[in-house]
Amino acid sequence: MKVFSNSETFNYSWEEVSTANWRKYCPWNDKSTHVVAVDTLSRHVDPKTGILRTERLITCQQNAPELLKKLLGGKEETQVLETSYVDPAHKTVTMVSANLTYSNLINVEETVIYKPLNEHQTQFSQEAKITALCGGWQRIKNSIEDTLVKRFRENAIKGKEGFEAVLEMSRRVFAEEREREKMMMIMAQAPNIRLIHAQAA
Amino acid sequence: MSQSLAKQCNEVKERYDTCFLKWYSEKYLRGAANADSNECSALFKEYSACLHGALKDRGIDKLLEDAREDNKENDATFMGRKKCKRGYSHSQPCLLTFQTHRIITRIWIGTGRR
Repeated sequence: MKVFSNSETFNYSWEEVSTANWRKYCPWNDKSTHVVAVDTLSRHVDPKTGILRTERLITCQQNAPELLKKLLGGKEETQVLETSYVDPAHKTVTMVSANLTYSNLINVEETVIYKPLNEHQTQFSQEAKITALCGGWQRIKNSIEDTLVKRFRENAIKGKEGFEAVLEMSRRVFAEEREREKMMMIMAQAPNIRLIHAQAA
Repeated sequence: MSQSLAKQCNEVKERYDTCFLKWYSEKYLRGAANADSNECSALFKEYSACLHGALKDRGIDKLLEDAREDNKENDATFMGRKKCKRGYSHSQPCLLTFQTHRIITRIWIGTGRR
């Protein structure tokens, strides 16, 4: 088994990060283009703890590492099941992802945690455990695991850049929406104000 | 928003995602959410029904069953039903009990077959 771990700081509040996380793989993110589809499979709130549990199916179109392609013939699409837990009381988002494709050969389990550092900053920590399952042949196992660790490292850099872009856009869109709502409120109140003025006059 | 795996579900998925995001940021994070149902439930039902066939056709439903089974330990940990420390770096006590449980199950299945 090989382990890849990484941690980053985002200069956005936990609320902003946890919201933008739902659209991490949208067109605003031009770095993570290997993710071609994201589908929500199930979602519910635990009445006791208030924890929101979500299952998403992530479809990637990324060429499998050369070595795997040679061994397996290389599938175009690969799927990952992501189970996430949002705990609003402890302000934590935990996401556990496991590969569905090639799961009889390789086990990849990634855990991502988003926690607030303070009111304006959020820490992202990621750990991936990669285990090649094919029997015997330690050298082959090692090189499969190393290849995947390398892939994780490459994707981690792109992932941060892409998510930064999504966070920036989200903040802008939310600000615009708030502005529009404020305008609507003023517009809605305008007749009343005019009425009060007329009565006063 | 991102695309759906099944093209025919894109439209309802988009409507559901938009509804969810609004609910999440305006209600859920502000502690004003209802656990049983919300304004997006009907849309989610429609979206799930659309997706169901696509998952079956691609044989993903079977893979999902296995993956869900493997994820049960994480569910217990992160849904707060288990008294062990949160986070993967402190999960040792949980991991131990899980493995013990697995070994016992295996022995039990083994003796049953004999």
